[in-house]
Amino acid sequence: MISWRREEEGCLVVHQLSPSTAKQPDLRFASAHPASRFPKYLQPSQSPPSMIPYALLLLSDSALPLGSFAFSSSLESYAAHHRTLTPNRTDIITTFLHLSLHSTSTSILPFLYAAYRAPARAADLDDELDASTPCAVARRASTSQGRALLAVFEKSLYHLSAGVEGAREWVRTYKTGGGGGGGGGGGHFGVAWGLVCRALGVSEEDAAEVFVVNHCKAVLSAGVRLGLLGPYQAQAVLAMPETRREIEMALERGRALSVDEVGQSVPALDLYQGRHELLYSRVFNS
Amino acid sequence: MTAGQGHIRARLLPPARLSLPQLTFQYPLKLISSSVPSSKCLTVFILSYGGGLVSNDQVDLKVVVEDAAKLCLLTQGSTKIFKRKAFEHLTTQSMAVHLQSNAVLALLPDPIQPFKDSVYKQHQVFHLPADDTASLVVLDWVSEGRSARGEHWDLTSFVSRNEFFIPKGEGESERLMLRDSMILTQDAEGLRSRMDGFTVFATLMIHGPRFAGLSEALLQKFKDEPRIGGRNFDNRRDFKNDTTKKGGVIWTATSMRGFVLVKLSGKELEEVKIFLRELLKSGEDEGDVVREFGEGALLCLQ
Repeated sequence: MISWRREEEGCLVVHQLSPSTAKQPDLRFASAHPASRFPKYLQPSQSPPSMIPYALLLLSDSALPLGSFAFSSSLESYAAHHRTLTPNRTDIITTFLHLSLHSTSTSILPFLYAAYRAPARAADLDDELDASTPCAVARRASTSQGRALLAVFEKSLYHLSAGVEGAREWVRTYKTGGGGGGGGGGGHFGVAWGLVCRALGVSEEDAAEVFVVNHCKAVLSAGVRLGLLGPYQAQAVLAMPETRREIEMALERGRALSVDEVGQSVPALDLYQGRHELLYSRVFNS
Repeated sequence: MTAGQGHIRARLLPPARLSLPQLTFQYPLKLISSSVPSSKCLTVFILSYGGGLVSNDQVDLKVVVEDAAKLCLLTQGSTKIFKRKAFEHLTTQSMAVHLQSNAVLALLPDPIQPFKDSVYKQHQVFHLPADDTASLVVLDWVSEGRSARGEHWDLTSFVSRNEFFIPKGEGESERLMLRDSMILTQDAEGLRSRMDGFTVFATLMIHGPRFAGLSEALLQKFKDEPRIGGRNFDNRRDFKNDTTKKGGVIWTATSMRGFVLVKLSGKELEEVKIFLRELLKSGEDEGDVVREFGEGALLCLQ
């Protein structure tokens, strides 16, 4: 059985977004070829229609049910601390996006790469990432999305991992916290993402890039809902060459660090993230 | 012994005499014991010649706090990190602390002050005993440099890493319980732009039974902080203004994996000092730190 360690850090535990993972993975369709359930004319053609791996298209979808919409990666708290200081609201979000990408690249990305490269060690890496995230709000946001991703993998994407040898074993080992570590498989987002991408046969570069782009999308989407910028502006920020360049730099920084070397490169963000709990009214969980 | 190395061993001689059976050091490191028999704990000052580390200074300190011994490590003034003189130079400070059962440690130094164009790496590792009965309070903080000379985070690179390990079991490797690290690197867009106007960042890491009261008091204090953007309808006072009244010190406290972690930052070093002092004295009777180590342990906050 799978039991997630509950985090009782003296704070409210947000659970409504973590789907129940108490059930065993649904293996009904795993044995036969999934396509056999569809009528003949719906079965996939032999020639690949596109160069983009199908799993990647699914993972880059903002509608992927991870509950990411509930988290602002501390944008909400940052904006609350800066509202009176910065008159231009769009400036708040572009500055924040830059800070957030920088911070993610040195604190989370190295773990994503490591989990991708050593999927059998994912549970140990997860425990190490847990120890290296000294902010309760960030930890909750991370595990909530990571666990949701594992649930999506098991409930919806499982058959896509059929061609990857060892994939299901890695995920099982990870969830039971095995691998010799003392960890209980906390399900942190960065580690879960690296592992699931590997299990779905997505390349390492694609896995990391989609993770970072998704992060930008989530921050901008939170910005739209906080009224900091409009939906067209958000899309424009996402499409800016500067944003593209920052994403590339983030990937570069993340690749260059080993998991021993991770750290916070924007110390102010830890403070804002931690102080999210002090906001009088909140739209987001982080 | 090579340059910059040092060893400290703190011991409790029954029934209640504290002693330092080992206290050795090599230039550029200097260790001075200021312990008197009547004091509550052993106090050792970690010093460097000229109050700082010059390019290529490498300090490597090993500390053992034996069963039920009590050690307080302090500095006298901020540790200045001078400009790197040659590209291949490394300026580092590493400390490995082994705590035995019921040992108590306070590491309350003054802040690190990295000057313009300095490169510095600090790595502190704390090995807790298998029975997890040791207690410690560790402060790690960094300031923006020589503010008076117009330096604001003009350092080239600064890395500070604190790691806490506990044995997993017989013959196994240790488990990482907490890692708090900061990586500040100068790059094209400038480090200053990422520091959000703050001039100092401090982290307080607390663990163990002797500091349970302090931990609890800090978490409660954070819980009682006024809400941001809220309004107190009793006196119509806007809480938004409270942060400015406190002088722009912002802080957060959290409990994780058996530790209490406090982070604070501010625009003025003095304000952060005053607030840190207030935090460390939280709890009954001036708090656990003063009870265990005496007022002298808070020297860096005077």
